[in-house]
Amino acid sequence: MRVAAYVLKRLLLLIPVLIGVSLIAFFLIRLLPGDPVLLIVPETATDADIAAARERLGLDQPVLRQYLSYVGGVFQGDFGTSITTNRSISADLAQRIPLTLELLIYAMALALVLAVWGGVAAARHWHKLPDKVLRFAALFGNSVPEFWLGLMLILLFYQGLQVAPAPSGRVDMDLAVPMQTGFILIDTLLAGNGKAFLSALHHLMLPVATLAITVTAPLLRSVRASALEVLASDNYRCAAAHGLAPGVLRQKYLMRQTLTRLPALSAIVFGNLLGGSVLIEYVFSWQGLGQWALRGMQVRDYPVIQAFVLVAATTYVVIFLLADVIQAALDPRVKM
Amino acid sequence: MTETQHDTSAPGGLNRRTLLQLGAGLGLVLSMPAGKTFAQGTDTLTVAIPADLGGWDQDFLAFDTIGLAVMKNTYPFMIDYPVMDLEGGQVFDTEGVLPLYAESFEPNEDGTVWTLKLKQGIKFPSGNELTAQDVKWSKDRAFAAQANVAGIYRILGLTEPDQIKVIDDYTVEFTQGTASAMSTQIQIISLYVYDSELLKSHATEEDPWAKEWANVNPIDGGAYNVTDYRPGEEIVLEANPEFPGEAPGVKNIRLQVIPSAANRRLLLQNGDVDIALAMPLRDVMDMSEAEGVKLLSAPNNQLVFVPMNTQIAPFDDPAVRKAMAKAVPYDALLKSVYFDEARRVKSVLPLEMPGYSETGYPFDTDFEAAKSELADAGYPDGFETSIVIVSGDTESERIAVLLQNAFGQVGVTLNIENVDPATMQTRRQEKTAPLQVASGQFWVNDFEYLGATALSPTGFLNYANYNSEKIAELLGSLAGELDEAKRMEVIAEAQSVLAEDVPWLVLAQPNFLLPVTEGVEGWVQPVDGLFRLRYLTA
Amino acid sequence: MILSLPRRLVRLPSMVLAGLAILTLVALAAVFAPWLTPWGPEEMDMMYFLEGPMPGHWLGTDANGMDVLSRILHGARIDLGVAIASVAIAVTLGTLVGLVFGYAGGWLDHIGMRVLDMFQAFPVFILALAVAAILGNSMINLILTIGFINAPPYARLIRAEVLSLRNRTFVEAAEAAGNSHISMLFRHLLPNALTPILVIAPLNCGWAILMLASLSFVGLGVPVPGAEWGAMISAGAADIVGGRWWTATFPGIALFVTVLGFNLVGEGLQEKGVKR
Repeated sequence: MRVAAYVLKRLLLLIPVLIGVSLIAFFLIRLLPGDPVLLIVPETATDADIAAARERLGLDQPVLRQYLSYVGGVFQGDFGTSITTNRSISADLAQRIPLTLELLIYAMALALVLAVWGGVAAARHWHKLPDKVLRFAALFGNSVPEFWLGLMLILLFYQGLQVAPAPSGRVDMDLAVPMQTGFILIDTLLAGNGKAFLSALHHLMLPVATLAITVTAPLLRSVRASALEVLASDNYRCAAAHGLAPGVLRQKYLMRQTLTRLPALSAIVFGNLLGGSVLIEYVFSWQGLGQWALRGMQVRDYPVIQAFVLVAATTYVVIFLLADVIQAALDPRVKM
Repeated sequence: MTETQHDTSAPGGLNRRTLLQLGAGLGLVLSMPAGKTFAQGTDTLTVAIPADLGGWDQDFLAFDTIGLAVMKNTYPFMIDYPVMDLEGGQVFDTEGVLPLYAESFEPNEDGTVWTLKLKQGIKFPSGNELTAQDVKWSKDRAFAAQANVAGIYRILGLTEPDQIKVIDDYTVEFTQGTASAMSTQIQIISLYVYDSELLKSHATEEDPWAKEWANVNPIDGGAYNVTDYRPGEEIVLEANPEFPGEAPGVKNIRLQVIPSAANRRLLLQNGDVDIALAMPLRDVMDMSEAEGVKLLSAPNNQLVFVPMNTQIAPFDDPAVRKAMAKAVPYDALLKSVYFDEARRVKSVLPLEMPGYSETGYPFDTDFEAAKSELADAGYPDGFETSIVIVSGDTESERIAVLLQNAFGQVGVTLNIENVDPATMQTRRQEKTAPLQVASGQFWVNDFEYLGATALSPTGFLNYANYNSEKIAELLGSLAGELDEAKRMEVIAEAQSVLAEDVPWLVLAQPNFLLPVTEGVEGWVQPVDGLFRLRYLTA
Repeated sequence: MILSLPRRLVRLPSMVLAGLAILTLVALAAVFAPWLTPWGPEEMDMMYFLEGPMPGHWLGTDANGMDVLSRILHGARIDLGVAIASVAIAVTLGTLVGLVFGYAGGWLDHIGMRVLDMFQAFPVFILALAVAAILGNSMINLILTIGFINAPPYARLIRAEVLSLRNRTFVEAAEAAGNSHISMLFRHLLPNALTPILVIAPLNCGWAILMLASLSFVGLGVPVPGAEWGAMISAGAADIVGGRWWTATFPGIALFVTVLGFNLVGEGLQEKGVKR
């Protein structure tokens, strides 16, 4: 009950934040130089043609009125229509969100596994070789631009070793399955197509690895630091001195306490992933939200940018909320 | 709708590098089966394209060279250009007409009334027959759209739907406001036809022209039909058995969207695609040595030039513009930017445009002369100015850097402003760029068109903001003038005027080179940059 | 104070020392760049376009005929400069805002934190692209953009520190002694709140360099042909596929080593806080 009340309160607090974000986005992009209307009218357009196009798009209205009618639409699930492609934004979102989420979720999961395993291992071998190797490896991943790493992995595994699939598409062309959820791994399973499932995994391999490598370092650092604290705590030493089985010791004492700080940091890292995925999608021809937004930005497709900002911001704040809730569940000391 | 501005404007598709590199390329086309079999006579080609199309409704699609190119292959176009051989490659004969769905397309005696006769019995994929009513409905729709076709029809004095009349089920008459030497070229661009019965069935009260439906549903009935479309990923085409022209050489074509140029290259080298479009020239040159890859080449009408804004100081002084024309390192540019795969152009007209004469741009690199002419014009210490390019367009970047270096030698400080496509378009509209890199093909291979669009105050390609009474007068005398000899005389005179006024720095005319896998043949270089896939064989 | 410096240095973890050593080298390269190579960073050698390493051009030339080595050395000026300047801006801005919010409390703090929430929830990339598009991509604007984007976490951090310090006895004592608000903020709260910031700042410098590289990749970094590592990498990335590895690899190494230097310092400093 307490948790529910807390979550509700936090959700209410989100509303002004999201309204603020949408307002900033709305006005900010209209401040940008560059007029989307000029990009959709033919080159032969006269001033009258341009004015007509502006009117058709509602861009001749005062900005505040545009904003209100936009928000009204959003509450009814209508994000408007892309200026440059005339496609419904909702349809584009439905198609692209799963693609990006799939990348992010797997990359995050992989990074967490690496960080927890590596961080605990490093702490247990504090200042010995495994510690140094693990930390350097993580720092390495944290010190290269993600687009560069992606390109290098493509060169190595696709062109060089030929073990990775071509950096295009989500499954091999001849294995396409009907899209139901939009999540390719789920859809291939629903279709009962084992080969397509494997092919999808294969295509996810490099982009997921690239993203995970670039964000593991801060997570690993945090896990290691927490684990060191726990290992040095009276509680843990006491339990160890009482001769608890190593398995129990690790699970009940080390792991649980070590992980309490992770959710908050994971939320931040997830936010960074959201940003980093823009370039990774480009490098791997991944038709997700990032590429969509990048293109929207270049051609000033207002509804596209607005929708992207709103989706990204919502994801971000919800992830933070989730992190807080998980943290509270893990750490009884945290007050709700 | 007259020139494709790939390199520099291409906002339609875009993504950084790939975006702008559409330039030279644009043409696209075919490929091989997935996989690495280099079998002869395959019936599937895979083509890597840099961007998806922006929508399927040609009446509303602007600035999207990929989209327009795909539609050139899937919409029924009544007429097209015939193909001819030129310098070892195949190009379009812009002075002829190839009837496809049309039986004939002929003018009356004074050239103002054109009659389109349709072949009988051609069916849309829906089963509806293509008739004069479809043509009429489609052009009514174009006028209602007030967009692409309506804009270009103005050149012919076609401004009202009433000027297009159905004579019988297979005959349509176009009554132009004026005779024009450009009638067939304009109609080749504009005479595409919708399946009117089909579209009407999707029309609603608010949307009588079924725009919403047509935007997201591929329009079929051209040389190819669209059998599958996954937005952002792939367009699958299959030869249309009803196509009245020569049957396409390859039955199935898959267009795969691969935004990164590096990836397109890798895919081609690995045999995963058969044709890579919009490749940077550097990669194209490299790939000529890759195993299993070859280059198809063809003469190209793409012109690369730097319009100087004639209303912004110091470029408002013709003497300064003339001096700058001598500060351009033409040969170094051909070598370092184009790897010698480009030709010098010594006129404002591209090389194969009728009337081209070297008197139009008689300038060579001469830093000393440039310097002293600048001093004479009142700039002994040079000046500072800027060149605007679209960011990510490597070719424009190279050009800008080279010019920056060369101009520095005559005391001119050149700042490079890179902006995104939307900003570029706005700067062009507002004419606020002192210098910019422009690159594209003139869709109508005629000086009357070039002059009207690029050298007249109202022209939409008039990036130089150029306004000359003399040129206006000469263009006026070309309008409606059908006599070839008289036209050539006027065009020659115009070039001597332009040699004095120098609105542009004319840089080069790059060759067209397309990297393909072994076995792919039949590339026809389109004058409008819109590839015709039907000529490909494998 | 000065005398104790060497001893303090010795007590720093080896990671920090290694990082500082790297950064010192990079800084030296930046300072002495013009004397270390005969070529200017934007000087074209019309004889050699995209040629591999050779005498005279020890790391080869790029597609514009510019010397890769000179560009890397001069690039250190830009990358180090942007990193340090932008983080300085982020720290200053974040600190001021955090101090004010934390000290003022009440509705100002409440609203202020919601505004920070908004900026943090806003996708970084869109924000960077927008600012670059509005202001243009000059060096100063890039520094401002990256600094601005980095500021909110500092504000949060300082505010939290201030909140926890406020109730401590020395602050209460100072307050009781009648110190003005301003002097409270700067003389008493700020010095005590700064420690956590100094630990994060180096990590942030590394991140700023990566951010600059990302902006370059989408064409919004320093204007061409500016010698900046990220721009060199993204311009050269395409060359690699064709076997011309030097245009992107060498600046890639420079960027990697520098970011690693910052990360080592940052990680080492954080480690110091952890006792076994």
